Amino acid sequence: MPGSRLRSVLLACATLAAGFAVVIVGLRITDAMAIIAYAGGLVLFGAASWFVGRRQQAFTDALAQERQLLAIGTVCCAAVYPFLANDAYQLHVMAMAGIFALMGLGLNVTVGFAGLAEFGYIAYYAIGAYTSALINVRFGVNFWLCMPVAAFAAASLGTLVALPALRVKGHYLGLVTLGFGFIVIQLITNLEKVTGGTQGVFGIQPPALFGHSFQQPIRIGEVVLPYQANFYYLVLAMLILAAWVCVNLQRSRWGRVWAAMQADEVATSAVGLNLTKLKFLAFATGASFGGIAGSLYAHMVGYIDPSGFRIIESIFLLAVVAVGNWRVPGVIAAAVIFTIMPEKLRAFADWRLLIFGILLLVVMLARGRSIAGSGR
Amino acid sequence: MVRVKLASGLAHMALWLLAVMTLSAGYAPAAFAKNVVKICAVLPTSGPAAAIGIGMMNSMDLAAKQINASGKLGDIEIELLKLDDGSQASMGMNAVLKAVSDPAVLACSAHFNSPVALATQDVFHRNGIANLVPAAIIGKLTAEQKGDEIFRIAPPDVWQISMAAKFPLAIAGKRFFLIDDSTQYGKSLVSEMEKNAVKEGGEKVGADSIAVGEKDFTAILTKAKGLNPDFIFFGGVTTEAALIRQQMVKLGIKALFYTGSGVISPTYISIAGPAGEGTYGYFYGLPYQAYPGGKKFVDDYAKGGYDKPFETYGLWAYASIEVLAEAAKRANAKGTLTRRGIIDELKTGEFPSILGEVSFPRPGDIKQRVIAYYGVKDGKWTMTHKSDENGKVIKLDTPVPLDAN
Amino acid sequence: MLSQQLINATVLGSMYALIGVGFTLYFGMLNLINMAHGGIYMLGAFIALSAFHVGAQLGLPPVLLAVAVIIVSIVLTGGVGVVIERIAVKPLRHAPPLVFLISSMAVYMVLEELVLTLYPNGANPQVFPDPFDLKSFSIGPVVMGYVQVFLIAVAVLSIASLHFVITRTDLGRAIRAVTADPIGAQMMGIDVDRTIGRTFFIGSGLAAVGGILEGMNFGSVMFNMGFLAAIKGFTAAVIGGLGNVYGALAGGFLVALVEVMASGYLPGGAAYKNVITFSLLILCLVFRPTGLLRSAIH
Repeated sequence: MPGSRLRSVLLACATLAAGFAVVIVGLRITDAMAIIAYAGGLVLFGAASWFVGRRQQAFTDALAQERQLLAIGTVCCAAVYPFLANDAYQLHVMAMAGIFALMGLGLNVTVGFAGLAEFGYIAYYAIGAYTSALINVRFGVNFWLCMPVAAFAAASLGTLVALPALRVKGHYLGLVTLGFGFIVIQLITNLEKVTGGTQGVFGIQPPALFGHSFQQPIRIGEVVLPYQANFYYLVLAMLILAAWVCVNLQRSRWGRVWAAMQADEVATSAVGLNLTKLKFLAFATGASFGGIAGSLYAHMVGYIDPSGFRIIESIFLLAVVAVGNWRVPGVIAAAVIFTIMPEKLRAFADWRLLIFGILLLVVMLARGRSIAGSGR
Repeated sequence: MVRVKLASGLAHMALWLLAVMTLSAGYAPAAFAKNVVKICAVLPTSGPAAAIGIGMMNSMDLAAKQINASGKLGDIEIELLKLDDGSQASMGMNAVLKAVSDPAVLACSAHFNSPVALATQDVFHRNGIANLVPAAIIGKLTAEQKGDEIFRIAPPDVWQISMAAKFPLAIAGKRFFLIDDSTQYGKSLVSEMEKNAVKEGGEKVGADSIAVGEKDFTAILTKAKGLNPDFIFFGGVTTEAALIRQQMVKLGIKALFYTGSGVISPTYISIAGPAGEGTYGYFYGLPYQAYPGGKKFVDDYAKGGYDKPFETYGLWAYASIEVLAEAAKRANAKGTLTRRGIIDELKTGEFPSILGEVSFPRPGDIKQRVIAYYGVKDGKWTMTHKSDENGKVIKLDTPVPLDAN
Repeated sequence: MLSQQLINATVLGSMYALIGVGFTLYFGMLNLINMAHGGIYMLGAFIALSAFHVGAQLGLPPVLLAVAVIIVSIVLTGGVGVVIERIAVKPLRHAPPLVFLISSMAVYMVLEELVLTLYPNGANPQVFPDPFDLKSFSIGPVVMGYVQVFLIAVAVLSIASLHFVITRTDLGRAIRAVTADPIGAQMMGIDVDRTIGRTFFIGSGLAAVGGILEGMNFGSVMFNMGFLAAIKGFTAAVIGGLGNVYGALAGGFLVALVEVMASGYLPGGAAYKNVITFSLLILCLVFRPTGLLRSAIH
């Protein structure tokens, strides 16, 4: 019925506008008390709308129906954002949030879609960053080639990690992947001749597109955006691509087969599906996202060193994926919030890992028995 | 029915939006006063070097307050933008980017840790803003910089060690064992020490590396003991140095334990305890009494109401702000109160400070230098020797303790 | 030289053995890997440190103070272990093991961050007192600290007590029964919940001793000391066969030996010693999850 369609479209637009306004305001606030009040308001609102959603099926139905509209709308809002928040530092933070969201999506492929434990994800980020940085600095390879190479390098590492996954499952696999992650980072730190060790890698060239270097500000007519906007848009583009890939992956044959494998490996292989191939693919795909994220980071910041890649961040990423409920929009939202909050609130930054540890614990306790992505 | 529920949902949202707007109304952008010159101070006020970072930040704060109160800058007021780099490159990058994107910030004094300073140097270059580094001593920061934005109120480590290598050879003997902490800082200290010590006739008997955060060095020290060195030189920072020293004593190793300026702090003594006695280190600073403004600084700091001591580098932090403020004043007098204007002043001028007259000829390191040698005596770092301009080691008649309070 | 390295390995091995025993007990009873155990190890050391500060005010003689501190820490840390069991382990006992692993890591994170933020100057290494003031003595070429003798004695005593509990007490019998067959044990009237709770007390108490060993031997503790200790302890448990207490003990010394030999005799080995330990863990989990030593029913 055209009337109800109009209503749901209006509802979706209103939700989008409200959400966008909330985000803009939130990013502008710098006073600590205001932030706490804001966060409190956000939590209340979240609870209220969940409540509303439960009570009024029409509300959630309308939103669900307009899912595509909401997605496109969100992308438009994100594209417009730099013009509203014309501040180099804010754009830098948002770009970092996007990179983190990219990693969250990648981890979600391995853990959420395929149910395979991965506790060392930060290693893919590190490999991606170092591969991209080193071929750029040592051999002058152009960024647009560096990024796919970095993705490939990370995917290769993922395939390597997948090998034990063939024999080992569940919590054993978790520890094995943790071990791999640790070893990779330690090797990066120790093999100075190749990686520069603790000194790090300098002078990573920013990307350039049609002669426009990403270190130059963007000029559109009268408006000038700081150069960080270049990276913001690049990260946004990659994130949209990643989200699109994830959604389609989940709906595709692969997604269904992965879900089957997660539910019952024996049955899946009995039906004739090749578990090995499935596992390799899950690890490699998830890893490649991390590789791309690493490459983006390296070229954005121009300098990388091992201290930026810590093992505890892998557990932190798991928390992001868990709180995001293993769904694409949730993971992105969780990653963005978790990146921005420490920047906004100094006290929050100090307690960040504690809060996330508690959050992770709560989520695990709440979902204990019925959990997506638990594997065996 | 649906319409009613829909309307209530929308009203719900609108109401909340209103609430948020009201909240954010309290947030008003700060007025931008024309004659305020912002200087950003980026130091590790959290993390492993927090004690040192906080001491330096307090000292810079004291400097800004005193300079403003004295009125000697005329119509300029200095405002310190304080940021934390947590001794991590990623945090340092964020802090510096934040500072540099504020057009009111005209100069910076950033970083204690060398790796962090190296990470952010490009940002200063790209934005044409000065960084008068208060303490990160790695040589290539100034020597290999792409532009002219980086200055340093301390001599580079390469120079320091060329002087410092003579001391243990004069006091302990020729045979030495080297330990580095696998970082850029530690490794460069150790390789410079080896180069210079061998040049002066020393003999390296062995070397090894440890990792920061490790605690068990007994295996390496046992190996070193077997090689019978006269002194063991450690390139690294406080905690590992203290633990190495403790384990040296436990293993009964008699060699002189020699280390760099990063270790000369009260923290070393508190971690090493009685084992710390007899440790030696070199430092490019003298006890505060030796500087023209030293005593006044110490007295003013005590009255300033800071709850943490100024630690080893307080004087240099204070002096950095003095220099930047003076550079701003001179640029203002010439009508070039901009980031580039301040850089030009720093390149050519001589500046009065509590350390005396200082200047920063190319590549940007401080011209006025000295190396002093401190040993731990009775739980205090005490200056017992120093080097003259030719590097000759001179013993002091009366040792002077380094008081960091 | 070799003998000196062996002394180092013995003290190190005691630490890993004590934390490894906890892992193996928990695995034996619940078939679950509890990474929070690393946090308990660290907590034990910090509780002891706080007790030291308190006791120093009372002016007790150092060695007596050290013993008192150890006892206090065992009791308090054991208590914390029991609380954690109630809150974070019991509800998830029948959840998929991976879920439990993740949540135990979350608990580890919480413990680590609590100490980091709440302990004064928590971000930095804390000085841990040596009750013997670093005094040492020599036997031939080997130098040994008085404190090391003390610590080895403490370790031996702890292990002996554990052995006694397991073989001679009702609790020990209950533990063995629940490990072998939880359902059967319940049918025989054993209170499985209580037994598990008490096992957590024992495991946590032993981990606390391990943490104190590390603190006293190296003179310093830090909020993040639990992570690597947990990995090494868990490796020890895996090598010895998960569920096998004596295996974990032996495994602890094996891991320590490998570590010390690598640091002492491989050029640049010290920088890789953790890589070696992790590799050992991975290899064991993939190829010999039942352990390198023949797993015997203890």
